[in-house]
Amino acid sequence: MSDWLEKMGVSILKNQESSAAILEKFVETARPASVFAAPLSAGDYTIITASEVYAGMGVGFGGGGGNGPTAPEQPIGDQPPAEQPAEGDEDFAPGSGVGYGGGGGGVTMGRPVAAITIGPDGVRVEPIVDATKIAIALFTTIGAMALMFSRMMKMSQK
Amino acid sequence: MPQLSDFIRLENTSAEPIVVGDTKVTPQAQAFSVRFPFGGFVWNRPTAVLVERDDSTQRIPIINVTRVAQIVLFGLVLSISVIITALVAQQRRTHHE
Repeated sequence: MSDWLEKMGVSILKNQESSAAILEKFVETARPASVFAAPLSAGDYTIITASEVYAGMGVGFGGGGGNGPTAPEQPIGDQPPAEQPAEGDEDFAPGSGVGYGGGGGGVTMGRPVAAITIGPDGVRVEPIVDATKIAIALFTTIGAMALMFSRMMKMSQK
Repeated sequence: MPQLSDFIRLENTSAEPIVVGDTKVTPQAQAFSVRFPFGGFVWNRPTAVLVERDDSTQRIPIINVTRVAQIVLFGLVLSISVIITALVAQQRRTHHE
């Protein structure tokens, strides 16, 4: 039993170490290099794209163990006698149990916000507009307002 | 004892300066991060560019037009909702009287 638990402990430690490494990579998202793209040159102009970046992640681990009372060897009533551990299978004695689980998930999103143009006429920051996002917000706004207005009208009629 | 700054951080960072001719451009960003032992969240956004040219420094802010539009629309809904609620409440009060 102790060998098995030791193996499980080592496995948990390895997984925690790898999750810590993933977390370190995740923190790299906070570096400015993830926001500003490498400069691109075209003629006299150099363009840098600036993006906003979101990243989120989480990991979780579970464990287990157990060493319950030994099952009786003699049958009780109609019940058959408890199965005895096989030779060399002492780790899995009757009444004992182990369990282990883990999982994780994450998301990364990026959206260009502006383009920085460096040219002979100076430096300009051109905003990049996400028309789809604005349209979705607009339609949601109109929908919410219409719904609220109709409810208010019904309430005032009562 | 763990402090709040161990979990929640707001950092202003500068990227490597880019030199084009006599112009030196330093992009700046702001990172908001929430960290837990088994997870976290990072929001990193560009804030401005510092332009150094002819011994003068100029700071050009980077405005997220999409975010501004979303906030304006949200504010519009909120304010109109408050106005409509107040008007309806006033109307009902007048009816009761």
